Amino acid sequence: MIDLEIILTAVFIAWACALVGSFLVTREMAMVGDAIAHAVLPGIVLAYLISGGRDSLWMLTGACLAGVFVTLCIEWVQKKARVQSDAAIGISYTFLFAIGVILVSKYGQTVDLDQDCVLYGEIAYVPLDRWMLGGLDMGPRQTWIGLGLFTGLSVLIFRGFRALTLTSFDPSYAATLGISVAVWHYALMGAVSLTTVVSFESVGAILVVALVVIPPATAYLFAKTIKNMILLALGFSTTMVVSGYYVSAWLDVSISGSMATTGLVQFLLVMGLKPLLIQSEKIPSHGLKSKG
Amino acid sequence: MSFFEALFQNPSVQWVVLGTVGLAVLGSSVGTFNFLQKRSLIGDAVSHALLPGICLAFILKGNKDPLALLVGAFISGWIALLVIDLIQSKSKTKSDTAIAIVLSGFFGLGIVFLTLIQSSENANQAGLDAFLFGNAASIQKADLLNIAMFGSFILLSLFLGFRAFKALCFDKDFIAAGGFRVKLIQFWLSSITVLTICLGVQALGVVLMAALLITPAVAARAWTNKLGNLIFLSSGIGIISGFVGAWISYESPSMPTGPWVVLTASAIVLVSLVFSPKRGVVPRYFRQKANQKKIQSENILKALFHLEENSETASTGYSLKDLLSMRAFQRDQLVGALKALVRKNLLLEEDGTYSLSSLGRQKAGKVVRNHRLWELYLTQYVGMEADHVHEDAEAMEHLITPELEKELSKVLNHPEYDPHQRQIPGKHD
Repeated sequence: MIDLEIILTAVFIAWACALVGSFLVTREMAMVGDAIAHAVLPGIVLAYLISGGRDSLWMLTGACLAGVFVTLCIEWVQKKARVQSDAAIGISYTFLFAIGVILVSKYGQTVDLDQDCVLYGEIAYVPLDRWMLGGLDMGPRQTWIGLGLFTGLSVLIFRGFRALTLTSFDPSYAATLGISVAVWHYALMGAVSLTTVVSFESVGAILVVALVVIPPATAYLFAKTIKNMILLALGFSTTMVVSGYYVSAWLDVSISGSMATTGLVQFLLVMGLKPLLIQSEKIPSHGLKSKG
Repeated sequence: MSFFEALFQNPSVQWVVLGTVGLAVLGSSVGTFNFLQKRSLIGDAVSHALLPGICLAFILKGNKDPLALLVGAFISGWIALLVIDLIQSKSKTKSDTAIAIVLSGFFGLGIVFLTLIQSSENANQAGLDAFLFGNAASIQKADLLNIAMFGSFILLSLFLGFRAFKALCFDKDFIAAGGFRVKLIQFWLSSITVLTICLGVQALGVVLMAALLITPAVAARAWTNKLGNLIFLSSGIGIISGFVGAWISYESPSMPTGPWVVLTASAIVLVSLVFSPKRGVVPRYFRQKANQKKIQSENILKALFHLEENSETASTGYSLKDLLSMRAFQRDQLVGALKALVRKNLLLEEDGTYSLSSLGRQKAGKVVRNHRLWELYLTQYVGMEADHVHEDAEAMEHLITPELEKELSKVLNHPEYDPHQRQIPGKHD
């Protein structure tokens, strides 16, 4: 039962990550996801200090603001200060991360946030935090939060699918159709921040990056349309999470670390086996198309 | 004891300061080359990817022998580099995605090893996870020795291989033509990058070591275009950041060194990006404003010149309305600009009408001359139709320098008329 609760939580979170990750990977913004995952740290600590406790709403707001802030920083450095994109990402998120570490060490005693929890997450403790509804045990709170996040993101992506794909693949065409590229860009960045923050508590900063990037990247090896890619990514994230969980139970090691590792192994396996799997395909694979 | 007293008396403070500053110099000078190769984030991935190697070395060796950990880290970092290259060459995965995959996957593996060590309850493990956030205060004499030894090796190879690395960043074909092996030089640069990160990661932490490779180089780039200067400047910024970081963490012992080093470097980068005279945002903004102003006043002078040229009889002056009929000026901007031109004695004002002073006419004539020379050049040498050249000349007239104007005039054999059969003013030049 405990196994199931942990796995279910991880699967919901992994699905949510795969949804936003698919768009990040196709937009060549994987490292922006990494930047956001690191940069939410100061947002969380500040929210903690202001609200004086682990109030989820404050944490969410603080972290989302920090996440959007780092994307704004990156854009400013890139567009206004004209620094190449990799360096722009590098200087922006390390700056925010440094502030986060300073805040954690300064208020380490008063803030119930240690560095381990930030990095590894506490998914093993998910079953301990129950959601009680009128005396009825509904299951772990994090599981419901994960499900809620996944549902919310599905609705966003379903409703905005056309706009999101068009702004990803052909921004100028999208603009001529009257779709605001900037609005969807920030909607996506906001969604990435939200996903990161919600996942943060249970899986930690590094696994969030693994969940956001690796399954969509694995799917990208095969997929010809963005729809296909999202569906495949959901599948790969499920196998990554479930196998990761059992490996960690078997070796008695960190759950989130093990999931990231199985993700990497799965990616390399799929990449290596792909020529064997798709032999009939004569034409070398090419990039994604915006429409199926 | 104040920081500066401690700096001269307390050896452990000296170790921390020397270690931090040394690492900052190494990181920023090696990082400059990675920055120029647009491989900055690879340093980030490598620094995360050292963790499994360090943990494995610890498991095999059973203690925290700095040299063993360094070797483990180095191997692990190199494998990460190879995997990134492999993913990019064997699939259509983009470089940023490949970096993110390796970064998170290897780090996850490291955490797996770390929890293996923790569950085996080895008393020695305490401090291994300082690796993640860094702990500069833990720099011991042995660490310093490693930094000094490998550091001088790194700096020496940067010095000796300077020309090769420079060519690697800017002109790979040149290396190939010179009989050098591009792959070998890249291998060498990658190796000293990995080595630098290995040396620094325990003191400064994963993320902050990555920052040290990127931030000083970006800051220095704002000030200079020369590679040699760039490296010295970047190292200088590294030294300042390292020193300030060590100082702050001495004054306030709860403060970690690494983040303050990065924060200092970030402050320097911000100031550089905003204020550097060549590339800063603010100086560029003012340059643009000044340029717009120059273009606008030249356009006004030109409009008056055309008005004079078109009118049959000598007129005393032209009203705002006349000017607005020539060109879509913005009314309130125009009024301000006219006043400024009158102040500079380029225009004469009389009862709300404006006319060119002789100085103004000379200046306007130069602009018109540039315009018409360029139109003629485009029709004669570029083969464009006469009715297509106006737009281009409209922009070029403000850019053509007196030297260029002389050259154009010479090339066109000192012409008298433009493609539209209008006279080119100022032929006597």
